[in-house]
Amino acid sequence: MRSWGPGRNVCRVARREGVTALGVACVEPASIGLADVGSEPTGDKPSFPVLLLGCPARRALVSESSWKILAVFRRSVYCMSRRGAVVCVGHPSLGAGPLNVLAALPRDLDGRNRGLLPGAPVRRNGTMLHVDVRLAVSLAKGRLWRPTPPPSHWDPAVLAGNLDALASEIRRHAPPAGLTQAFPNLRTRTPSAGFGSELTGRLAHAAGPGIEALRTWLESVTSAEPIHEAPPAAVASLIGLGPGLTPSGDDVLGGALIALRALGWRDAADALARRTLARARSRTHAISYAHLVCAAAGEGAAALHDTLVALCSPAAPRLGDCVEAVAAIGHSSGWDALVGLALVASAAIATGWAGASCRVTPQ
Amino acid sequence: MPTKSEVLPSFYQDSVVLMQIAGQIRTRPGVRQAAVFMGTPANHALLGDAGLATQESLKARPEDLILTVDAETDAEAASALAAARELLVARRQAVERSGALRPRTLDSALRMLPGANLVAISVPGPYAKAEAMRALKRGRHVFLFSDNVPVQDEVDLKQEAWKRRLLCMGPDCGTAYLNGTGIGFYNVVPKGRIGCVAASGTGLQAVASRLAALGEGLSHGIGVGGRDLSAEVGGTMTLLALEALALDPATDAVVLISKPPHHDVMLRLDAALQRIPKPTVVCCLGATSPGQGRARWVGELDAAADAVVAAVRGQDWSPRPFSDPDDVRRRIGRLRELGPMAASGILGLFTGGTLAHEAHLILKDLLKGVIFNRRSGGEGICHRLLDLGADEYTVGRPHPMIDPQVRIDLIREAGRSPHVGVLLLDLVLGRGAHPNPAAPLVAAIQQARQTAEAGGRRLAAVASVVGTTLDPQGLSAQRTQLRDGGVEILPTNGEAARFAALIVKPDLGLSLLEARR
Repeated sequence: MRSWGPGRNVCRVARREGVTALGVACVEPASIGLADVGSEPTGDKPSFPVLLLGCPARRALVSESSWKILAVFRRSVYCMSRRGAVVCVGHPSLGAGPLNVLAALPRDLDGRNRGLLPGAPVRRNGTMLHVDVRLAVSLAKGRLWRPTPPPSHWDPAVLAGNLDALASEIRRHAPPAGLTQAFPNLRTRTPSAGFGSELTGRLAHAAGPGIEALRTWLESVTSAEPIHEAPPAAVASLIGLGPGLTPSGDDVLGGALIALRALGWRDAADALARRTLARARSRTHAISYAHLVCAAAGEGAAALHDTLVALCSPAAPRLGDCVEAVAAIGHSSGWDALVGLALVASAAIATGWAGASCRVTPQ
Repeated sequence: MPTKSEVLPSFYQDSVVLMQIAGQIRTRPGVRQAAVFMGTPANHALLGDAGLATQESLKARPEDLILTVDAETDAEAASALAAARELLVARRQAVERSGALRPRTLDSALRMLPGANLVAISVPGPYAKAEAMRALKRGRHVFLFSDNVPVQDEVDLKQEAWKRRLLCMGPDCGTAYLNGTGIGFYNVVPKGRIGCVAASGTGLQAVASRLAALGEGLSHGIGVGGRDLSAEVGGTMTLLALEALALDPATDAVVLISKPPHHDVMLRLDAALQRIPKPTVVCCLGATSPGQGRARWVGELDAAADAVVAAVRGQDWSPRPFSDPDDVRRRIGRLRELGPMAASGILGLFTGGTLAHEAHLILKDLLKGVIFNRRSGGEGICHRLLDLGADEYTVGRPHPMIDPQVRIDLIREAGRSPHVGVLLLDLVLGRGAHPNPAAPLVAAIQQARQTAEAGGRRLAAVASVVGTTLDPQGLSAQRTQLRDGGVEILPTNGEAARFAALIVKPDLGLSLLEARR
């Protein structure tokens, strides 16, 4: 064999894998709409079609053409534009999300071993996104992903039952490293060597005031209409706190923001977003900040939205599957986001709020 | 309580990896606490509260990664920190190092090595033109290893190269030697005074190896790709290479190796050969001299090497079917003493396409019913030669010079065939080839022989080896393995083909052993 790679064959295989791995119901069959920007040669590198991409990712890619590699992981490459927008180009097994640009990449992409390095240029030329000179993805036929909306009405008793089941899942399976330890009713098994019991205790201690402030505020604003009260400053102490690529505190706040927006608690979501984003720009890093911005707009990983839908359903047979999918996000990030989501759901139960039947007025 | 920290700037890492590394570090001797955190203000406060903040860790920004270890002793803390750093940084450094060695574009490669005057290209055929054209336009010669390049792309590339007086070697160029440096699949040969132009990789390897065996070496071996002398391409690179060798002061004599040129190209080629003021030998397998030119035309690869060596040494030379007819007589006699062959078909299994082609040309003049590159058809007593480097055998697997499995399977199959009496084989050594090609070959032959003998048949094996004493596999070691495995080894591919013919058709003996080629 004289050549190094039957790129198209690899692409076909990956496409099959991608379709089966996606499993996302809520996709918009419209094309990305970049075709009018112009077309482009792929040069000498194989190009892989984008299958699905989030709306924020699409908006950023349409508005900016000059990017650079921010970080390289096994299944994905984070790219940052000149104006600070972030997208994540990756394998479909990542799952859909607002920043994700899921392409029919080989499962064994491993960008690091392909020589993709942070700082290398990324350029969009028409519908092609050239990641350095080693990877090109075609945006032309990518479908837009939007999160699955939860039911507009639900029974607080159903939500309470499902929340207990979620708490049980967290207690049984969540790793001890994250902020699940900060909740007495969610505390998991003995901290392992992965984080260290002393640090775990200190993290829970450090996060305690912020989480308590968030919980209290959520309950107060759901029982008071309209919202007069901004989240206390202590909430912002969660920003950038904890281990992981996206710090645990950011994940908790992200989960809460997504849940507030999804359950129709718009004013509360706006208030928390203002408090969070104003501090997050300087207190966490670019990738985590980009996820928080999406969460503030009500968008997160598809698995989180699916979990919310399952929580609101009378019979939630898929809750276990959804939690499993969330758990696959990072080491403890998914679990920490579930904590934020559970906080909001708990507040809704405590105040007897039942979705669209109960509105808050604008500030 | 010694606490040591290190900050890795702008270092994003997967959470799972971060936690695994923290866990590994915590299990090291003397380690009490280990943290791998992003350098956010909240995490600085957390580390400070835990007594794990250091002057170093406080320098971290949110996008930086902090490694912090608290241990019983300074040495244990330092050791654990070093281990964490190694675990985290090793992969990135490996990539960065490889990135430094493997530039991502041709232009960045040229910035690293601005004095480079040749670009070796191996990308899939459809992409080869763009890269090769870029190299030519930057004033560099091209060695184009890629196959499946459209012929029009080749024409365009070679016209550009011709215009710029640059060499475009290939596409599908497997071997070249330039100023003593081998490229692609090549045998290790000494630098010398004979220049070659070759439209065949294995042809060039065979001639270069034979020259080395005769005590000579190559000044240059310029590959041009198998289609260069076609009507479409017009022989542009062959003509340019011949001109270059004619002018090269290190080259005393020239050899041209190819398939028969298209008749439109032959006139230009003949004119170019006339202009070479040096001894010139032409081996266009299957073609004859177009006229009474200065160049000497020969019909076999080894003959090309023999003729050019004689020319530079001022010796007479004439072709002979066998270099040692007495030895051949003895060996044939010994084989006949074993009894008549139950089957008289030759199965030629070649890894070198040109060697297969050469054997076909020889055998079809000596025997009836010789089939080339057809696995089926022609049942009965016939002789079948296969080029196992052809596309149909290499789809999805390496070339048979690297991966012997296809040939092994066919040898085993031959043991079960009532039609095959002789296996005719080549063995190509050198850089890029299998590290010990004789071993799997001998094992397969012995297995096939056992199968044949169980069926009351005899199976002979005849081979030639393309290689030099300087090749990494060791020429003598490979020959010894073959000989010990009962394989008849002949000095050249042509002699091996004739030897096989003698086995299956004894009445050729007089004409072959006494005649002159």
